[in-house]
Amino acid sequence: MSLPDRPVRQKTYGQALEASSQDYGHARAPGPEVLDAELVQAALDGDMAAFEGLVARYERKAFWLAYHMLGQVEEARDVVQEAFVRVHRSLDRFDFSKNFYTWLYRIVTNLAIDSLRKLKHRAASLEDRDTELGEEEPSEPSGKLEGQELRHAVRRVLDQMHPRFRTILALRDLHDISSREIAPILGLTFATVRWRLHKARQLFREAWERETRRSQASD
Amino acid sequence: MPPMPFRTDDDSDDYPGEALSREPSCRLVLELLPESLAGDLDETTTAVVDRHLTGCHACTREAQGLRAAREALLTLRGAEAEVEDGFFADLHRDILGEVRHRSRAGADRQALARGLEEVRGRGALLRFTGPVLQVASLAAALLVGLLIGRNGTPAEAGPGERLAGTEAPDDGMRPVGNQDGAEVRRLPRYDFEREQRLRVEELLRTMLMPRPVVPGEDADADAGLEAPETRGRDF
Repeated sequence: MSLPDRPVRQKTYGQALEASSQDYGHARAPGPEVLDAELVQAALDGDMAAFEGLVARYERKAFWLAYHMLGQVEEARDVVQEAFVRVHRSLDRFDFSKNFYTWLYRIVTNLAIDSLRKLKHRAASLEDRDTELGEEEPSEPSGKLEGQELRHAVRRVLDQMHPRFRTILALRDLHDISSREIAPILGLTFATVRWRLHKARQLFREAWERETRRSQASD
Repeated sequence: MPPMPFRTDDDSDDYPGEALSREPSCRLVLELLPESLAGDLDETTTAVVDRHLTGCHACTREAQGLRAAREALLTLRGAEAEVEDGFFADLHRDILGEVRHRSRAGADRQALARGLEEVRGRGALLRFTGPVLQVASLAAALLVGLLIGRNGTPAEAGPGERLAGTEAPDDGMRPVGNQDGAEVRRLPRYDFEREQRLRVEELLRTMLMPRPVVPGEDADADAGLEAPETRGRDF
Protein backbone atom coordinates (compact mmCIF):
# COMPACT_ATOMS: atom_id res chain seq x y z
CA MET A 1 0.00 0.00 0.00
CA SER A 2 1.52 3.28 -1.02
CA LEU A 3 1.13 6.25 1.20
CA PRO A 4 0.15 9.60 -0.31
CA ASP A 5 2.88 12.10 -0.91
CA ARG A 6 3.56 14.61 1.74
CA PRO A 7 1.87 17.94 1.04
CA VAL A 8 3.97 20.45 -0.79
CA ARG A 9 4.52 23.47 1.37
CA GLN A 10 3.46 26.43 -0.70
CA LYS A 11 3.91 29.18 1.85
CA THR A 12 5.60 29.63 5.15
CA TYR A 13 3.70 29.34 8.35
CA GLY A 14 4.39 32.99 9.04
CA GLN A 15 2.72 33.97 5.76
CA ALA A 16 -0.25 31.76 6.47
CA LEU A 17 -0.51 33.21 9.95
CA GLU A 18 -0.63 36.69 8.56
CA ALA A 19 -3.33 35.68 6.13
CA SER A 20 -5.67 34.23 8.70
CA SER A 21 -5.30 33.41 12.34
CA GLN A 22 -7.28 33.02 15.48
CA ASP A 23 -6.04 35.16 18.32
CA TYR A 24 -6.22 33.55 21.75
CA GLY A 25 -4.45 36.46 23.40
CA HIS A 26 -1.36 34.52 24.38
CA ALA A 27 -0.97 32.64 21.11
CA ARG A 28 -2.21 32.88 17.57
CA ALA A 29 -3.48 29.69 16.04
CA PRO A 30 -3.32 29.46 12.25
CA GLY A 31 -6.49 29.87 10.28
CA PRO A 32 -8.48 26.90 9.04
CA GLU A 33 -7.04 27.13 5.53
CA VAL A 34 -3.65 26.08 6.90
CA LEU A 35 -3.74 22.32 7.11
CA ASP A 36 -2.34 20.44 10.07
CA ALA A 37 -0.17 18.43 7.70
CA GLU A 38 1.39 21.62 6.38
CA LEU A 39 2.23 22.71 9.90
CA VAL A 40 3.70 19.30 10.68
CA GLN A 41 5.82 19.42 7.54
CA ALA A 42 7.01 22.93 8.37
CA ALA A 43 7.83 21.85 11.92
CA LEU A 44 9.77 18.93 10.51
CA ASP A 45 11.73 21.43 8.44
CA GLY A 46 12.70 23.16 11.65
CA ASP A 47 10.05 25.89 11.71
CA MET A 48 9.30 26.20 15.42
CA ALA A 49 6.58 28.77 14.71
CA ALA A 50 4.69 26.06 12.84
CA PHE A 51 4.85 23.79 15.84
CA GLU A 52 3.64 26.66 17.99
CA GLY A 53 0.73 26.93 15.61
CA LEU A 54 -0.16 23.29 16.21
CA VAL A 55 0.07 23.83 19.96
CA ALA A 56 -2.10 26.92 19.81
CA ARG A 57 -4.65 25.10 17.69
CA TYR A 58 -5.01 22.00 19.87
CA GLU A 59 -3.80 22.76 23.39
CA ARG A 60 -7.25 23.66 24.70
CA LYS A 61 -8.99 20.67 23.17
CA ALA A 62 -6.24 18.36 24.38
CA PHE A 63 -6.38 19.83 27.85
CA TRP A 64 -10.15 19.48 28.19
CA LEU A 65 -10.04 15.94 26.90
CA ALA A 66 -7.42 15.07 29.51
CA TYR A 67 -9.34 16.96 32.17
CA HIS A 68 -12.61 15.20 31.36
CA MET A 69 -10.85 11.88 31.69
CA LEU A 70 -8.87 12.72 34.82
CA GLY A 71 -10.92 15.32 36.63
CA GLN A 72 -7.80 17.05 37.95
CA VAL A 73 -6.42 20.24 36.49
CA GLU A 74 -2.78 19.68 37.32
CA GLU A 75 -2.78 16.08 36.14
CA ALA A 76 -4.45 17.10 32.89
CA ARG A 77 -1.93 19.89 32.45
CA ASP A 78 0.98 17.48 32.87
CA VAL A 79 -0.58 15.05 30.42
CA VAL A 80 -1.03 17.71 27.74
CA GLN A 81 2.48 19.02 28.21
CA GLU A 82 3.94 15.55 27.90
CA ALA A 83 1.73 14.80 24.89
CA PHE A 84 3.06 17.77 22.95
CA VAL A 85 6.63 16.92 23.90
CA ARG A 86 6.09 13.43 22.49
CA VAL A 87 4.46 14.81 19.39
CA HIS A 88 7.41 17.08 18.77
CA ARG A 89 9.86 14.25 19.37
CA SER A 90 8.01 11.91 17.02
CA LEU A 91 7.07 14.29 14.23
CA ASP A 92 9.20 12.33 11.78
CA ARG A 93 6.99 9.30 12.42
CA PHE A 94 3.75 11.14 11.70
CA ASP A 95 1.64 9.37 9.10
CA PHE A 96 0.56 12.05 6.66
CA SER A 97 -2.31 9.90 5.49
CA LYS A 98 -3.96 10.29 8.93
CA ASN A 99 -5.38 13.25 10.81
CA PHE A 100 -3.02 15.05 13.15
CA TYR A 101 -5.59 15.45 15.89
CA THR A 102 -6.35 11.72 15.79
CA TRP A 103 -2.69 11.10 16.49
CA LEU A 104 -2.56 13.77 19.20
CA TYR A 105 -5.74 12.56 20.90
CA ARG A 106 -4.45 9.03 20.90
CA ILE A 107 -1.31 10.16 22.71
CA VAL A 108 -3.37 12.23 25.13
CA THR A 109 -5.78 9.40 25.94
CA ASN A 110 -2.97 6.89 26.43
CA LEU A 111 -1.12 9.26 28.75
CA ALA A 112 -4.33 10.05 30.61
CA ILE A 113 -5.08 6.34 31.11
CA ASP A 114 -1.54 5.86 32.44
CA SER A 115 -2.09 8.80 34.75
CA LEU A 116 -5.39 7.32 35.92
CA ARG A 117 -3.60 4.12 36.89
CA LYS A 118 -1.08 6.11 38.89
CA LEU A 119 -3.86 8.09 40.54
CA LYS A 120 -5.59 4.88 41.44
CA HIS A 121 -2.44 3.66 43.11
CA ARG A 122 -2.15 6.90 44.97
CA ALA A 123 -5.78 6.53 46.03
CA ALA A 124 -6.43 10.22 45.72
CA SER A 125 -9.45 11.10 47.74
CA LEU A 126 -12.41 12.95 46.33
CA GLU A 127 -12.00 15.53 49.07
CA ASP A 128 -8.60 16.49 47.69
CA ARG A 129 -10.09 17.12 44.29
CA ASP A 130 -12.92 19.16 45.76
CA THR A 131 -10.35 21.24 47.57
CA GLU A 132 -8.46 21.79 44.35
CA LEU A 133 -11.49 22.95 42.43
CA GLY A 134 -12.95 24.98 45.25
CA GLU A 135 -15.40 24.31 48.03
CA GLU A 136 -18.77 22.90 47.06
CA GLU A 137 -21.67 25.25 47.21
CA PRO A 138 -24.38 24.36 49.71
CA SER A 139 -27.15 22.20 48.28
CA GLU A 140 -30.34 23.82 47.09
CA PRO A 141 -33.32 23.27 49.38
CA SER A 142 -35.12 21.49 46.58
CA GLY A 143 -32.35 18.92 46.38
CA LYS A 144 -31.66 19.83 42.77
CA LEU A 145 -27.99 19.94 41.82
CA GLU A 146 -26.83 23.02 39.99
CA GLY A 147 -23.70 24.75 38.76
CA GLN A 148 -20.38 23.65 40.14
CA GLU A 149 -22.01 21.24 42.55
CA LEU A 150 -23.69 19.52 39.65
CA ARG A 151 -20.37 19.22 37.82
CA HIS A 152 -18.72 17.78 40.91
CA ALA A 153 -21.48 15.22 41.17
CA VAL A 154 -21.03 14.29 37.51
CA ARG A 155 -17.31 14.06 38.14
CA ARG A 156 -17.88 11.66 41.02
CA VAL A 157 -20.02 9.48 38.79
CA LEU A 158 -17.41 9.46 36.05
CA ASP A 159 -14.70 8.60 38.55
CA GLN A 160 -16.60 5.46 39.48
CA MET A 161 -16.59 4.28 35.89
CA HIS A 162 -13.93 2.20 34.28
CA PRO A 163 -11.39 4.32 32.34
CA ARG A 164 -12.38 2.72 29.04
CA PHE A 165 -16.00 3.87 29.44
CA ARG A 166 -14.98 7.24 30.82
CA THR A 167 -12.68 7.79 27.85
CA ILE A 168 -15.26 6.99 25.24
CA LEU A 169 -17.90 9.18 26.89
CA ALA A 170 -15.44 12.08 26.97
CA LEU A 171 -14.51 11.63 23.32
CA ARG A 172 -18.01 11.18 21.94
CA ASP A 173 -20.36 13.13 24.19
CA LEU A 174 -18.08 15.87 25.50
CA HIS A 175 -15.85 16.41 22.46
CA ASP A 176 -18.23 15.46 19.64
CA ILE A 177 -15.75 13.16 17.98
CA SER A 178 -17.57 10.68 15.77
CA SER A 179 -17.43 6.95 16.40
CA ARG A 180 -15.50 6.46 13.18
CA GLU A 181 -12.85 8.93 14.36
CA ILE A 182 -12.76 7.44 17.84
CA ALA A 183 -11.89 4.01 16.47
CA PRO A 184 -8.31 4.89 15.40
CA ILE A 185 -7.80 7.05 18.48
CA LEU A 186 -8.51 4.14 20.80
CA GLY A 187 -7.17 1.49 18.46
CA LEU A 188 -10.54 -0.25 18.29
CA THR A 189 -12.84 -1.37 15.53
CA PHE A 190 -15.85 0.75 14.70
CA ALA A 191 -18.23 -1.93 15.98
CA THR A 192 -16.38 -2.12 19.31
CA VAL A 193 -16.53 1.65 19.67
CA ARG A 194 -20.30 1.64 19.16
CA TRP A 195 -20.84 -1.21 21.60
CA ARG A 196 -18.61 0.39 24.21
CA LEU A 197 -20.31 3.75 23.78
CA HIS A 198 -23.73 2.16 24.18
CA LYS A 199 -22.58 0.39 27.32
CA ALA A 200 -20.91 3.52 28.72
CA ARG A 201 -24.09 5.57 28.33
CA GLN A 202 -26.14 2.91 30.08
CA LEU A 203 -23.63 2.67 32.93
CA PHE A 204 -23.47 6.43 33.31
CA ARG A 205 -27.23 6.71 33.43
CA GLU A 206 -27.48 4.04 36.16
CA ALA A 207 -24.68 5.60 38.20
CA TRP A 208 -26.15 9.07 37.79
CA GLU A 209 -29.53 7.94 39.08
CA ARG A 210 -27.82 6.45 42.13
CA GLU A 211 -25.96 9.71 42.66
CA THR A 212 -29.11 11.83 42.48
CA ARG A 213 -30.93 9.49 44.85
CA ARG A 214 -28.03 9.70 47.28
CA SER A 215 -27.99 13.49 47.01
CA GLN A 216 -31.72 13.73 47.64
CA ALA A 217 -31.48 11.37 50.61
CA SER A 218 -28.73 13.48 52.18
CA ASP A 219 -30.93 16.58 51.86
CA MET B 1 -20.51 -9.12 20.17
CA PRO B 2 -23.65 -8.94 18.00
CA PRO B 3 -24.10 -5.86 15.85
CA MET B 4 -26.78 -3.49 17.03
CA PRO B 5 -29.80 -3.42 14.70
CA PHE B 6 -30.09 0.32 14.27
CA ARG B 7 -28.72 2.95 12.03
CA THR B 8 -26.60 5.90 12.88
CA ASP B 9 -25.36 8.89 10.98
CA ASP B 10 -21.93 7.32 11.16
CA ASP B 11 -22.79 4.04 9.52
CA SER B 12 -25.89 4.51 7.41
CA ASP B 13 -24.35 2.27 4.75
CA ASP B 14 -23.83 -0.58 7.20
CA TYR B 15 -27.37 -0.84 8.50
CA PRO B 16 -30.10 -0.59 5.85
CA GLY B 17 -32.82 -0.14 8.46
CA GLU B 18 -35.32 -2.67 7.18
CA ALA B 19 -35.68 -3.85 10.77
CA LEU B 20 -37.53 -0.60 11.53
CA SER B 21 -40.01 -0.81 8.66
CA ARG B 22 -42.61 -2.09 11.13
CA GLU B 23 -43.44 -0.85 14.64
CA PRO B 24 -40.44 -1.53 16.89
CA SER B 25 -40.71 -3.36 20.18
CA CYS B 26 -40.04 -1.65 23.52
CA ARG B 27 -36.86 -3.71 23.85
CA LEU B 28 -35.50 -2.38 20.58
CA VAL B 29 -36.48 1.21 21.44
CA LEU B 30 -34.75 0.97 24.79
CA GLU B 31 -31.65 -0.16 22.93
CA LEU B 32 -31.90 2.81 20.60
CA LEU B 33 -32.71 5.48 23.17
CA PRO B 34 -29.16 6.52 24.20
CA GLU B 35 -28.10 6.95 20.59
CA SER B 36 -31.35 8.66 19.72
CA LEU B 37 -30.90 11.23 22.48
CA ALA B 38 -27.28 11.78 21.49
CA GLY B 39 -28.33 12.44 17.91
CA ASP B 40 -26.35 9.51 16.61
CA LEU B 41 -29.28 7.98 14.67
CA ASP B 42 -30.47 8.94 11.25
CA GLU B 43 -33.69 10.92 10.85
CA THR B 44 -35.87 7.95 9.90
CA THR B 45 -34.86 5.86 12.88
CA THR B 46 -35.13 8.83 15.24
CA ALA B 47 -38.69 9.48 13.98
CA VAL B 48 -39.64 5.86 14.59
CA VAL B 49 -38.29 6.01 18.14
CA ASP B 50 -40.06 9.29 18.85
CA ARG B 51 -43.35 7.92 17.52
CA HIS B 52 -43.01 4.94 19.86
CA LEU B 53 -42.32 7.19 22.84
CA THR B 54 -45.54 9.15 22.32
CA GLY B 55 -47.59 6.05 22.92
CA CYS B 56 -45.46 4.16 25.50
CA HIS B 57 -45.26 5.53 29.06
CA ALA B 58 -42.64 3.03 30.21
CA CYS B 59 -40.24 3.94 27.41
CA THR B 60 -40.97 7.63 27.98
CA ARG B 61 -39.94 7.36 31.63
CA GLU B 62 -36.80 5.58 30.53
CA ALA B 63 -36.12 8.32 28.02
CA GLN B 64 -36.53 11.01 30.71
CA GLY B 65 -33.97 9.30 32.91
CA LEU B 66 -31.51 9.01 30.05
CA ARG B 67 -32.05 12.62 29.05
CA ALA B 68 -31.41 13.84 32.60
CA ALA B 69 -28.19 11.84 32.79
CA ARG B 70 -27.03 13.16 29.45
CA GLU B 71 -27.81 16.75 30.36
CA ALA B 72 -25.85 16.33 33.57
CA LEU B 73 -22.89 14.88 31.69
CA LEU B 74 -22.88 17.76 29.21
CA THR B 75 -22.51 20.28 32.02
CA LEU B 76 -18.84 19.29 32.07
CA ARG B 77 -18.49 21.07 28.75
CA GLY B 78 -18.84 24.31 30.65
CA ALA B 79 -16.01 23.49 33.01
CA GLU B 80 -13.90 26.34 31.65
CA ALA B 81 -14.95 28.39 34.65
CA GLU B 82 -12.92 26.02 36.83
CA VAL B 83 -9.57 27.22 35.54
CA GLU B 84 -8.10 30.54 36.47
CA ASP B 85 -7.59 33.46 34.15
CA GLY B 86 -4.36 33.16 32.22
CA PHE B 87 -4.32 29.40 32.69
CA PHE B 88 -4.01 28.68 28.99
CA ALA B 89 -1.40 31.37 28.48
CA ASP B 90 0.70 29.64 31.15
CA LEU B 91 -0.03 26.24 29.64
CA HIS B 92 1.02 27.44 26.19
CA ARG B 93 4.25 28.89 27.53
CA ASP B 94 5.00 25.79 29.60
CA ILE B 95 4.37 23.41 26.70
CA LEU B 96 6.71 25.29 24.38
CA GLY B 97 9.29 25.72 27.11
CA GLU B 98 9.24 22.01 27.88
CA VAL B 99 9.42 21.11 24.20
CA ARG B 100 12.44 23.35 23.70
CA HIS B 101 14.11 22.08 26.84
CA ARG B 102 13.59 18.43 25.95
CA SER B 103 14.61 19.11 22.38
CA ARG B 104 17.91 20.59 23.55
CA ALA B 105 18.38 17.77 26.03
CA GLY B 106 17.67 15.29 23.26
CA ALA B 107 20.23 16.96 21.01
CA ASP B 108 22.77 16.83 23.84
CA ARG B 109 22.02 13.17 24.39
CA GLN B 110 22.46 12.47 20.70
CA ALA B 111 25.79 14.30 20.68
CA LEU B 112 26.85 12.32 23.75
CA ALA B 113 25.76 9.09 22.11
CA ARG B 114 27.74 9.96 18.99
CA GLY B 115 30.79 10.71 21.13
CA LEU B 116 30.41 7.42 22.96
CA GLU B 117 30.13 5.58 19.68
CA GLU B 118 33.32 7.22 18.51
CA VAL B 119 35.10 6.28 21.72
CA ARG B 120 33.76 2.75 21.42
CA GLY B 121 35.16 2.62 17.89
CA ARG B 122 38.58 3.62 19.17
CA GLY B 123 38.23 1.12 21.95
CA ALA B 124 37.62 -1.61 19.40
CA LEU B 125 40.85 -0.62 17.63
CA LEU B 126 42.71 -0.75 20.92
CA ARG B 127 41.21 -4.12 21.72
CA PHE B 128 42.55 -5.39 18.40
CA THR B 129 46.02 -3.82 18.58
CA GLY B 130 46.53 -4.32 22.32
CA PRO B 131 47.50 -8.03 22.24
CA VAL B 132 49.76 -7.44 19.26
CA LEU B 133 51.61 -4.72 21.13
CA GLN B 134 51.88 -6.90 24.22
CA VAL B 135 53.41 -9.78 22.25
CA ALA B 136 55.83 -7.44 20.49
CA SER B 137 56.93 -5.95 23.84
CA LEU B 138 57.48 -9.41 25.30
CA ALA B 139 59.51 -10.49 22.27
CA ALA B 140 61.67 -7.36 22.48
CA ALA B 141 62.29 -7.96 26.19
CA LEU B 142 63.32 -11.56 25.51
CA LEU B 143 65.66 -10.44 22.74
CA VAL B 144 67.37 -7.88 24.97
CA GLY B 145 67.67 -10.49 27.69
CA LEU B 146 69.31 -12.94 25.31
CA LEU B 147 71.78 -10.36 24.05
CA ILE B 148 72.77 -9.44 27.60
CA GLY B 149 73.11 -13.11 28.49
CA ARG B 150 75.45 -13.74 25.60
CA ASN B 151 77.69 -10.82 26.55
CA GLY B 152 77.96 -12.08 30.12
CA THR B 153 77.18 -10.48 33.42
CA PRO B 154 79.25 -9.80 36.54
CA ALA B 155 77.34 -12.48 38.39
CA GLU B 156 78.71 -15.10 36.06
CA ALA B 157 82.31 -14.17 36.68
CA GLY B 158 84.16 -16.78 38.73
CA PRO B 159 86.35 -16.08 41.71
CA GLY B 160 89.76 -14.82 40.74
CA GLU B 161 88.69 -14.10 37.17
CA ARG B 162 89.17 -10.71 35.82
CA LEU B 163 86.35 -9.13 33.98
CA ALA B 164 86.86 -6.86 31.05
CA GLY B 165 86.80 -3.25 32.11
CA THR B 166 87.45 -3.91 35.79
CA GLU B 167 90.25 -1.89 37.27
CA ALA B 168 91.63 -4.17 39.94
CA PRO B 169 92.10 -7.95 39.84
CA ASP B 170 89.66 -9.92 41.93
CA ASP B 171 91.62 -11.49 44.76
CA GLY B 172 88.66 -13.46 45.97
CA MET B 173 88.32 -11.29 49.09
CA ARG B 174 84.83 -10.10 49.99
CA PRO B 175 83.98 -7.19 52.35
CA VAL B 176 82.46 -8.44 55.60
CA GLY B 177 82.35 -5.22 57.67
CA ASN B 178 84.25 -2.27 59.07
CA GLN B 179 86.65 -2.08 61.96
CA ASP B 180 88.23 1.18 63.12
CA GLY B 181 87.21 2.85 59.90
CA ALA B 182 88.89 0.27 57.71
CA GLU B 183 87.06 -2.19 55.54
CA VAL B 184 87.53 -5.79 56.58
CA ARG B 185 87.77 -8.25 53.70
CA ARG B 186 87.97 -12.03 53.92
CA LEU B 187 88.05 -14.92 51.60
CA PRO B 188 84.70 -16.63 51.20
CA ARG B 189 84.19 -19.83 53.16
CA TYR B 190 86.00 -22.71 51.53
CA ASP B 191 83.54 -25.08 49.87
CA PHE B 192 85.20 -28.44 50.39
CA GLU B 193 82.45 -30.53 48.80
CA ARG B 194 82.38 -28.44 45.68
CA GLU B 195 86.14 -28.62 45.36
CA GLN B 196 86.12 -32.39 45.76
CA ARG B 197 83.36 -32.77 43.17
CA LEU B 198 85.24 -30.68 40.68
CA ARG B 199 88.39 -32.71 41.21
CA VAL B 200 86.52 -36.00 40.70
CA GLU B 201 84.90 -34.73 37.55
CA GLU B 202 88.23 -33.59 36.23
CA LEU B 203 89.81 -36.93 37.02
CA LEU B 204 87.05 -38.87 35.32
CA ARG B 205 87.25 -36.71 32.23
CA THR B 206 90.97 -37.25 32.05
CA MET B 207 90.61 -41.02 32.46
CA LEU B 208 87.85 -41.42 29.91
CA MET B 209 89.47 -39.16 27.32
CA PRO B 210 93.17 -40.00 27.37
CA ARG B 211 95.43 -37.55 25.68
CA PRO B 212 97.38 -38.83 22.66
CA VAL B 213 100.85 -39.97 23.56
CA VAL B 214 103.54 -37.57 22.41
CA PRO B 215 107.06 -39.07 22.24
CA GLY B 216 109.51 -37.51 24.70
CA GLU B 217 106.87 -36.01 26.97
CA ASP B 218 107.14 -36.25 30.75
CA ALA B 219 105.82 -39.57 32.03
CA ASP B 220 104.12 -38.04 35.05
CA ALA B 221 102.32 -35.64 32.83
CA ASP B 222 101.26 -38.54 30.64
CA ALA B 223 99.78 -40.26 33.62
CA GLY B 224 97.29 -37.37 33.82
CA LEU B 225 97.24 -37.08 37.58
CA GLU B 226 96.75 -33.38 37.23
CA ALA B 227 95.08 -31.82 34.30
CA PRO B 228 97.10 -29.02 32.76
CA GLU B 229 94.15 -26.60 32.88
CA THR B 230 93.87 -27.07 36.62
CA ARG B 231 97.44 -26.20 37.31
CA GLY B 232 97.96 -22.97 39.01
CA ARG B 233 94.24 -22.56 39.53
CA ASP B 234 93.59 -20.26 42.34
CA PHE B 235 91.22 -21.80 44.86
